[in-house]
Amino acid sequence: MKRNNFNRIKKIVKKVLTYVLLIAVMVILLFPIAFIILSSFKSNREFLLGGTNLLPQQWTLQNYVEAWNTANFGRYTFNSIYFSGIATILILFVTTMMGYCFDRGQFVGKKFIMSLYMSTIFIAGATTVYPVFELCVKLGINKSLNGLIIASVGGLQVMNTFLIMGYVKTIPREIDESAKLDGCSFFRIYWNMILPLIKPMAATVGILSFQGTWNSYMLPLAFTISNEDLRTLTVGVVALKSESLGSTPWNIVTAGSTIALVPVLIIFAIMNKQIVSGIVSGAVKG
Amino acid sequence: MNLPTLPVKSPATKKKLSLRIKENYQVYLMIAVPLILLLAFVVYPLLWNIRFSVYEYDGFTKSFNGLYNFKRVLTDPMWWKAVANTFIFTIFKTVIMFPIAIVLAVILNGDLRGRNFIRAAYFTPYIISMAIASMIFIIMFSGYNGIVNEILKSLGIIRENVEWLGSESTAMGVVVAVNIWKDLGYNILLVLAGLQSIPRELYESAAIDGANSFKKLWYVTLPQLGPVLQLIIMLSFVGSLHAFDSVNVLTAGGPNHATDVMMTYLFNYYFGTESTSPQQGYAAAVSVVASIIIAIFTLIYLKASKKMQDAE
Repeated sequence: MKRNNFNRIKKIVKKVLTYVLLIAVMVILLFPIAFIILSSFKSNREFLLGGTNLLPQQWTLQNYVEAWNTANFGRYTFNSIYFSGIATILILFVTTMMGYCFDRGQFVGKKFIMSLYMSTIFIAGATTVYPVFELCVKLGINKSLNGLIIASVGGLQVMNTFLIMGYVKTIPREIDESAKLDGCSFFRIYWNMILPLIKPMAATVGILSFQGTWNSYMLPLAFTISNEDLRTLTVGVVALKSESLGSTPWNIVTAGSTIALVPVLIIFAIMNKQIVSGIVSGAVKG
Repeated sequence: MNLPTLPVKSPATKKKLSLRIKENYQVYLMIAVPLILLLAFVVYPLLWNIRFSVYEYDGFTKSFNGLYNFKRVLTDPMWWKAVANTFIFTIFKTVIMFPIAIVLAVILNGDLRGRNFIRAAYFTPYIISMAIASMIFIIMFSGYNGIVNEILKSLGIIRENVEWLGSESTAMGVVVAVNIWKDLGYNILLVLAGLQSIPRELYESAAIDGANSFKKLWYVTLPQLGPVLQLIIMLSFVGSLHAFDSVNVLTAGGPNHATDVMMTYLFNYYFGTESTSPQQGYAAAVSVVASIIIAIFTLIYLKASKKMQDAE
């Protein structure tokens, strides 16, 4: 009887300790995000005073007004939406076509092209960022966001392509065959049959691409070093810091960071299952 | 048995090939655009680097200088410091992050209420921008009014403010911290995926043998997880060699090169810094050297992962 009780208590204590640990880790992992969002509603004076208060004593939207009106964040937000939006659409076209051709297509040099594609995982982005930029200068597309978009789409889409390819593989080939008998061409089969069927995976790739381009920093930085009007949100926020740390407008940094964070956080809140499974299977396969 | 193939290419098969191409012209049209992009933005830059690695080039004028750039990078102590820093960063990140990730994944693999919510919460840092995350850490670790100093002071752990990012001994710690903070949830999920493939019977028979949680972890989980874990760790290892965003935003390689990694080193030569002008020819040579170093480790990773797939 006594022993039974002891075991029960031991079990409860163990459970409580487990939850304490899990919640402690959760607090540490979510703290910085909560911290920056809440700080963006503090007055600059309160923010500079520091302290351990997480919640603002007085809530204010002044930082957002300043960021939007005087620090060009309206422009940066537009740039980010335009850049990520168009790039995502183009990435979807490129990866679904490539994934479809890799699985269903018969063409000369298929193996070679596939391994060329695969081998791009060797390349660290920073090693090629300058030649990519110079190529865009030569093509005359470095003065608009379109150059950045093309360079981002042309960059590494290996993981996305292989996610699509894996999904196309699961679609029975009988569908193609019967479409072919009905006189559908290779492209028609892609457009009318395969695309509608791979929608779930295309959605995942789309979300991941949007998140990836929205968050990207190095390539947008390289393209906008001498062109401040093209900055995206991530580059715009970091650029505030470049001057001496003492004179950095921290209130604008917090507001700008929040503007950059909120869209991905909302997308994640709505579609976290898709994002998680896409990223995990991409890591396992890629 | 294989049928003997025709040793001579007859006109018939040649015709067949051209016919095949004609029939499949749509395939070629469809792969043309992605392929041109790949050639322009991946292959061409690689060749550009190789070509310009033997030139002195500043974006405007170039002059051939043979292997001088390579000699310079291989004898530059700052480069080797950046290489060492890259590996110090990578090793510390791996050694600290994975034990935590494994323990948490094992806990989350059990029957727990709110498991899915906790997993999603852990994953949140991974989906935000590394550049923004680094800005948040700059604010939190500020030496003047940072909340980390304030908390540590109120807990009595430190008495005076620490200049986390301003001193050589602690700056790398912050770089490692932000990377672990961001990637922990992701790696927990990968480990969880591996855990789910371990047969439950193994735990049941271990329980019958009277094994406690720790023994189960040590004698069942880890050996079973071994191959998958190896893959995940190497994936993280190779990825860490590419690190750029966090270092560039947090410290730009400073103070006094204490956090300079391979990618920030070469980026600063490509685009110049506030005090130095760009030297693209030299940066191209550095890129070639860095690519070789990374390729060696990526190849080891690919070989290991292939071995495992064959073993499966």
